[in-house]
Amino acid sequence: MTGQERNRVRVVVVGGGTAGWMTAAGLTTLIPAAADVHLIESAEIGIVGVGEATLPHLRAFIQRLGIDEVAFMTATHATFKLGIDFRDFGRIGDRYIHPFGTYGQPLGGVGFHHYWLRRHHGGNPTPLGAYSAGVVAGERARFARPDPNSDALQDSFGYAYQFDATRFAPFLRAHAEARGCRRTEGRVVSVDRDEQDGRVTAIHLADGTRIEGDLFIDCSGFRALLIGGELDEAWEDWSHWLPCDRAVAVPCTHAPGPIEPLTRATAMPAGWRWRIPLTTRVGNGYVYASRYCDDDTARDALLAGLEGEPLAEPRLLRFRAGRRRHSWSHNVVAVGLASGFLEPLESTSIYLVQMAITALIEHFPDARVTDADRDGFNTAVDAEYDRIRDFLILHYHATTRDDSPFWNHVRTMAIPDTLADRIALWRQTAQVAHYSYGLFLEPSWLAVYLGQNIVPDGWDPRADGADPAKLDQALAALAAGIGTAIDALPPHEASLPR
Amino acid sequence: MNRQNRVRSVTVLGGGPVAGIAALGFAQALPGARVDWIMRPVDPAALADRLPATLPSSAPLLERLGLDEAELVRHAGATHRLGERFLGWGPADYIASEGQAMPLGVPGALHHHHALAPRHPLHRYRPAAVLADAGRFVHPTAPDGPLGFHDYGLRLDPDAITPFLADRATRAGVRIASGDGVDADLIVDATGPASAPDWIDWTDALPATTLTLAETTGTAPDPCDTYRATDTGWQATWPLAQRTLTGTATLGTGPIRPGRRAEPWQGNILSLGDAAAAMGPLCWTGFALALANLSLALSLLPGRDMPPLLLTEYNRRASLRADRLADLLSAHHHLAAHAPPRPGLAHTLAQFARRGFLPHFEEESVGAERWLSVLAPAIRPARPDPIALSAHPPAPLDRLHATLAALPARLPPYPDYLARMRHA
Repeated sequence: MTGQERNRVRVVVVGGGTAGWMTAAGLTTLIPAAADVHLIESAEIGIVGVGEATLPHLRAFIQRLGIDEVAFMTATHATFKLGIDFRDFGRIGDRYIHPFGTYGQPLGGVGFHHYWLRRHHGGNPTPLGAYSAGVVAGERARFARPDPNSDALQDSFGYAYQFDATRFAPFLRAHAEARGCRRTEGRVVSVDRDEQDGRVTAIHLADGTRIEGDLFIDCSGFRALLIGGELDEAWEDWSHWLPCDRAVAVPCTHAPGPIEPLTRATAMPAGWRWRIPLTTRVGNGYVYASRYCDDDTARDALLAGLEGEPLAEPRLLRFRAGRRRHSWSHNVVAVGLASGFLEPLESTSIYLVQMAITALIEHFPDARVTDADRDGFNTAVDAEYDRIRDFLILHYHATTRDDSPFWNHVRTMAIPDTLADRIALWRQTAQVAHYSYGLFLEPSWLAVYLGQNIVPDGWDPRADGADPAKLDQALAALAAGIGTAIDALPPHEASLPR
Repeated sequence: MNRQNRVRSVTVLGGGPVAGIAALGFAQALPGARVDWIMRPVDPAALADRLPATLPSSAPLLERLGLDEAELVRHAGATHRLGERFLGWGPADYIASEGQAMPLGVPGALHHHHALAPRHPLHRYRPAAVLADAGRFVHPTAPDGPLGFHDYGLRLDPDAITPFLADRATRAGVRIASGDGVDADLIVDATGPASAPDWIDWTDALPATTLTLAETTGTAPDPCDTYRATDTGWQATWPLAQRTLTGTATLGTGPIRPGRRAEPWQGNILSLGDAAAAMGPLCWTGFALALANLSLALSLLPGRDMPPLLLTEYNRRASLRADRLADLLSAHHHLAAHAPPRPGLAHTLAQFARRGFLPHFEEESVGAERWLSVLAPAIRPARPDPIALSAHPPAPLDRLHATLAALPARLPPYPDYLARMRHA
């Protein structure tokens, strides 16, 4: 061994699946001189595999790993995703798309949405989405990869993927093993701890194998063998704000028609259902609160709403919303479901894995973990979870639905102060409280606020100065320009790998 | 109907460039409003008015105000600040600068690669610092070669900038008068520091509380300021267009009281400049902070009723910004053993000492390079960066050093470059 190899941190990843193999691929590609990675996974334990829609950040991750997009999409049966089509959340019959991208352009230092609000109150019926290239492209199922160096309307949106996550893990496994990741098949049955400082020193498998390590990554899903089972790290429960705790999922055939570059989220009596189109099939699921709906009713509702033929038996998943108080404790780092869970309403599950891996590399220890490593990682991860939590709660709370006990609960529940303050600022002034780091910047909040009928009655008074007819003309010209630019793009399916 | 009604009148109080840009900014943002600028004598302790400079992050607001750099050079005595040299401020002398590091062609940040093989001081590997140290400045060119990665601010001549802004403000419709304030929907207090009940004191961490200024004429302008540590504080050289200012700062108790208000916007009174946050004399940051806060005020511009939630959002962001800028100044002082670190700085230091990592903060006024300029020379991270360690082949640092060392000789001395701009 060279001197460098001798000094590498022995990283043991417990658990395969998306979290485990993303971590292994990330560490072996990006810090091979610092990490020696050994992944333990059990073939017996089922992979959850419901994280099928993603965010644009995943593109950066696979690029950083040197993975070719076409190869990745082919292996995972991926389609492009331009946003999420939300239906029936604010009111039954309402619909809006939350895109990747902005709305309009600021004018005179005043945000576009203030002008839109002024004309909306003045009777202009055009929805905000008409001024977003991402929304229009999603509605019309058009797509071409945007040029990041261009200011043109047809380049002013982002995109992500909709894919079969159960194929993503094997794809990454090949990548990681080619870069030196060792894999052992087995089930962890016990854990050795250091008597003085409590760190994990080794794990034991069912077949008697003992594996030592310096740093252990807990990717064992909800079972959380290390962070929960062994270290008993506290779990912060969020079920009072996000009561959904089950999902029933089933794939089905495509209905005739174009493959939409959109994930659909339709509100249901006790939660919501997803529809995620891949190249080969459509993924479906009903996320629901067992307190308000039994499993049989949920399964029947899911099957009744399919647009194609089921391709498997529906699968039931159980979870709970929340996160570890500390995702990194001692020398155990929880990534994925062992770290926390938020329902996939805004496709954040794989993002949370990716950002944990990024934070882990930024705070990667040497053989001894220090407080600075743990604190830096936990601060970053906790902030992301909490921000996403608040954004998801908004989707439920911003409703006038009163047609079921579930909707009555979420409509009337107390919400976190952080969220309440934001909503109050928005209602009075049409301003979005600002931050620059992490998910869901201003356009995302605009999409959900206005899509779900939280319409301010006060906005920037500078938007009142322009002549209303001229302003309507300018808005119409912008919407027309976006429509023309998007119609010139090829259909979504033309860009999919064959 | 909009529940918010627009502001019809603004009164700006103050005698220096902070009041000037506020008057100009509000006049432009509110075309129908009456804007009065009531001139008052500049408070000697109002350092944002007396030592005005901009940061690279100020550029968008200057553009929005229509303050073209070439005109500031020609009519407001502006000079380019590319670097700040610190001598005797820690274990190694260093040059602070802004911009990006040149791409190395391998993954990993420059300062991490440098920490693995520190043959020369870090500032020898950064274009802005190399140029500044050699007395050279040119505008950045297309981002291909070594001249595409530096960033700079502007020092404004304190005597020339206020008349320049007064002229601009008048042309924008501002009425300039002296005497008592005029009642208005919005009052901007740019009168300089005054005791306020919600004042938060920073003198523990920012100990330069006395400043004596002197000037020498017949000197040449230079793109690099110098701060030389002395037994009692420091001595600064600020080489402006027509004269060089020197500042002698003493640490301890004195008339300058660094600190900030907890709530700079209360009711219909917005405090800007030293009335809101007194940054002290180091690096001339007060005016740039006032610019950033003006920009924030113009983007959040409330209606006549001044909704409390909007003022709360302004105060939240303005306070974060002032604190973070104070953290940066605290870094200079703390690493020179002048003072203990501010809390935000202590967190940054702990993360940097461990792995050369800069944690994210909201409302930063400077880029990562500016932070690394001051932290890296004093702190060698305990743990080498794993990405840099994994880079193969290793980063071509020697080639970078040689490329940058040869750069200044190809460029005109700054006085010539500036003269050409002034007389163009």
